[in-house]
Formats: sequence, C-alpha cells, structure tokens
Amino acid sequence: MTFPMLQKSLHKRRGSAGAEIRRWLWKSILPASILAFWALATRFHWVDRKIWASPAQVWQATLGLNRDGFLWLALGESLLRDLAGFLLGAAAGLAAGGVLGWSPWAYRLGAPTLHFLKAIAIFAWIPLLTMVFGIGEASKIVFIALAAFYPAALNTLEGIRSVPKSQLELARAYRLDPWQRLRKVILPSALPSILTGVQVALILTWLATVGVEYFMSAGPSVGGILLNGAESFHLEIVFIGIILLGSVGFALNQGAHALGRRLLRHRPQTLKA
Amino acid sequence: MPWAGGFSAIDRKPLKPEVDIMTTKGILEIRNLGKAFPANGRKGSLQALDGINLSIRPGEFVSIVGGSGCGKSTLLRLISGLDDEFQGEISIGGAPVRGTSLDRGIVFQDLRLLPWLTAEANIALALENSGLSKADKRQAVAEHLKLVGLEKFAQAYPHQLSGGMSQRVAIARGLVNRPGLLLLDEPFGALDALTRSRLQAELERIWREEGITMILVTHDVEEAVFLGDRVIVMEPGPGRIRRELRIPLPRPRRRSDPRFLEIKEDILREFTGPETAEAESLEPAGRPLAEARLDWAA
Ligand SMILES: Nc1ncnc2c1ncn2[C@@H]1O[C@H](COP(=O)(O)OP(=O)(O)O)[C@@H](O)[C@H]1O
Ligand SMILES: [Mg+2]
Repeated sequence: MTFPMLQKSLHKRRGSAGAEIRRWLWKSILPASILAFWALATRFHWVDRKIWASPAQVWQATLGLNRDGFLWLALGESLLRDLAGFLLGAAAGLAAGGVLGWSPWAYRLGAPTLHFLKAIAIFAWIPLLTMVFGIGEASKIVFIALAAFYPAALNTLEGIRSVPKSQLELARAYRLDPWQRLRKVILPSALPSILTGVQVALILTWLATVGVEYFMSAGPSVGGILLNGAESFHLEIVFIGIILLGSVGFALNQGAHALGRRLLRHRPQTLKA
Repeated sequence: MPWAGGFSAIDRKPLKPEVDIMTTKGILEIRNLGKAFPANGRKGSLQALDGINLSIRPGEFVSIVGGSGCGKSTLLRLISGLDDEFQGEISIGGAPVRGTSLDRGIVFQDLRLLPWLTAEANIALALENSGLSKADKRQAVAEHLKLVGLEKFAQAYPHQLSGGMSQRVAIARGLVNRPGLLLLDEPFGALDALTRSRLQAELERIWREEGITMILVTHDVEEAVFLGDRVIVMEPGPGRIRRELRIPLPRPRRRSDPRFLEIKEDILREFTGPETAEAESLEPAGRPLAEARLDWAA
C-alpha cells in the first residue's frame, strides 16, 4: 500500500519564491503595457490633451488631492459604508436563504417572489429607497445591502437545497437531530455554495457602494471623487476614482478567494470555489 | 500489521443502553415484502421487490447474492428503516420496523463518507448520539481505525484515501456503535483480494464475538459462502428470492475445502444453468466463470 505517498499528499504543496515572482511578473505585463501606452499616447498627443490627462498628471493630482489625507478619508468612508451594507445584506441573505432552503414550506412561499425581485436591476430601487429612507446614509446602506442580499440568499438557498439525498439519509441512519444535521451535514455540504454567494456579494456591494455614492452624491468617498471629477471635467480626478475603485475591487476579490480556499482547503479540488 | 492485535484484545464497555439491545434480540421477520418505485410518472410501475419472505434469527449471518438490479440494496434500505413505504411486514421481535435505529447499522454500497470530515470524524459521526463520553468515543473510534488498519490515516480526508481505504472507513463506521443488526451492502467490493480476505476474516470474528446479526449483500459467491450461515440467491424483475441454502460447513471455513467448492459451484449454476435462460441478463457475457467473483456492477 502506498502509505508514504498518501502521507505526503496530506501536506500542502507550496510554490517556491522564484515561481511566485514569475507569476507576479506575468500578471503585471498587461497593466504595465497599458500604463506605458497611456503615457505614450498623451506624450505624443495621440489623444486630445484637453481631455486626457497623462499618468504623471494623475500622479500629481493624486498627491495634491491627498495633501491632507483626503483620499484616505474618502476611501475609509466608502469602505465603511460598504462594510455596513455588506454585513446587513449578507446576514439577511444568509438567513433568508437558510430558511428557504431549510423549509419546503418557506421555499414554496418565498422562492418565486425572491426570483422575481432578483430580476429587478438594483438601481431601479433607488427611487423607492430615497422616497422611503430619504437621501441620507440609510438609503445608501440599504441599497448596498440589497446588492449583497440576492447573491447571499440565492446561493445559500441553492447550496442547502442541493445537499445530496444520500448525505441526508446518512444523517437519518445515525439519527442526528435537526441541530446536528445542520451542523454536521447541511452547512458543510452547502458551504462552497454559500461562500460563492458571499464572494459575489462582496464584489457587488463594492460596485453598489461606488455607484450609490455617485448617483446620490455622498461627500468624500470614492464615488464622490468620480462625481467631482466628472462634473468639473477633470479627467485626472476621474482616473483617481477609477483606480481606487478597481484596486479595492481587486483586493476584495483576492481576499474573498483566499478566504474561500482556506475554508475549503480539505475539499477535493473540484469543490473549491 | 494493523489488525494483528485484532479486536478480541480490546476490553470494551457495553456501548448502548439496554433498551436498544432488546430490540434486536428478537427474530427479524420479513413477510410478503414488496416495494414498488414510481417509474415514468406512472405510480408503482417498477416492482423492485415482490413477495419476499425471510426470517433471520438473532446472531445469524445471512449472505444475499444476486445480479445487479434485483433489489438487494432496496431490501437493506427497507430493513434499515430508511424507507417506510412498502407492502408487507418487517418486524424485529414482533415489533414492526419504523424509521431508523442506531441498533440497525448499515454500510452503504456508495459508502457515503462526508468529504469535509477526516476518516476519524466520519467514524465518530456514528457515535454522535451513542450517549458515550467524549473519551469513550475517541477510544472507540481509535480502536476501529486500528481494526481496519487505518490508524495512520485518522486525519486523512476521503479524497486522500483510495477506494479500498474509503470502504474500510465505512465498515469501521458501521461497526463502531455495535449495532445489534448490521446491514452490509457490498462492503468489500473495491478491496484488493488480500485486504478483502483479511477483512472477511475480521468481520467473521467480530460477528462471532459480538453476536451481531449480519446481513451481507455481495456479488461475490465465494464471499457469500465463506461468511454466511445461509445464502439467499435473488433474481430480478421483480426482485424475488430464488433460492435459499444453508451452509453446513464448520468455521472458520477453508476456501479449498471440496464441500465449500461444491456449494459455490452449485450457487454459480443458478446464474448459468440452462433452466435460467430468462435470467441471462444476470451474467455479463464473456466473463470466465471459473472465477467465483462475478462482477455484476451494481
Ligand atoms: N429510488 C429509486 N427510485 C426508482 N427506482 C429505484 C430506486 N432505487 C432502486 N430502484 C430500482 O429498483 C431496482 C432494484 O434496485 P437495487 O435495490 O439498487 O438493486 P441491487 O442493489 O440488487 O443492484 C432497480 O431496478 C432500480 O432501478
Ligand atoms: Mg445494490
């Protein structure tokens, strides 16, 4: 029997530092090329310089804008708002998806409505939200929460409903009570799907945050920077907003995937998110 | 080797409250059992089992052989109480079987190890409601990992185990809470010949020492004869009992014993004889029958 081989596979394999660096180089080829092309395009006036700012100008504007730490403040505002909406929406989504997945009654009652509501683009909620919650912070957070709610709810629901019959039967054979069944079988079985929901929710809430800040003009914030740059025709400011938006989105995505990999580290590769 | 110590060396406390043991001390009576599955939307159009009569006394070892699709797994499911929808009666000691019981263990044909639990935790799942203390649970799990020779793999996850190892984990999980009745659905199918005969011997020993009633479904006629007090031969369409043989050989049995071979040949003839023309689907074409192990994939 191949004991040593299997024992070895119990430990995680890790790439060497050299391989890690090579991977990073590969990843940065395209962004670096785009940056270079942008610099050349503005330097040699391939684009209208009255509209297009050069990378150097964007950098100058960034330093200028951040003189009193304004960018950090704006970023912090946006992240805090995102976090509040995410927590609210993801928690509600997990709960709703859990109940709908758990109880066939609740499913028959609630699932059609959920699917109908899901089909409404979330920006369509803004008029209603502003009418109910005003144009203050509450409206924005509820809007962001909505963005988190659907993926969290639907993936949780799906994950729970697709727990294999065979696993539920196993729970029955060992006479697990509902709580044991939930803890030992249903939640772990649904976990990959739930995590996917949370990951999607995390990405969508960030986009929703910046979007709602833009449309409902929040003060210092990433969306606010975009709005400001657009209204004053300062493309370098718009670029700052875009870069902030993209960087945070990228970081959230990476973080969510790392978390997913960690939580599912013992699953066969095919199950990993 | 892991099993050198064997199970007999282990001094164990009784695992279950008295009440549970009572339930399987009686005779398992199966009367006129039938099971129909709805097929193609028409209700009851697939008769998986029909007119099964079987009576198994406590502590008996019964082997069930038969081709794929003759309802062997269905029969075990009904006995285990996982499926309460059937015609006829199943009772133990006069009490009808309703729902599952920790005293009726089952080793599923498809194993059903939970992929997010280690081998150890998968086995421990069977003890979740055993009423044992944490320490006793841990000890019972360790003993059974040892029994199936996987103590080094306590922390391995199912996807890190070979098919045979997974099967051994499933067997350990079936045994760990010492059910009064253990249903085994082709438990040795994926094992190599050496491990299989070892585990067969080990299973026989546990059966002898613990007095557990065992019903073993297998497609290996030799295994059925080696282990069974009785061999039940089933046939499909609808699933029925075709024949029942008592195996009068003393234990431990020797596979080379002429009487053993004779009984084995006798059973094999059920699947090849001229009078079974209508059952030809049982036998995969071109398979050398000299090998007792018929690979009726189930
Ligand atoms: N859940 C089910 N739904 C419908 N048909 C089933 C189901 N389970 C088993 N059957 C059918 O019942 C018959 C017997 O199946 P099974 O008990 O698995 O046979 P075996 O274990 O002897 O191979 C087969 O024809 C199978 O297709
Ligand atoms: Mg079967």
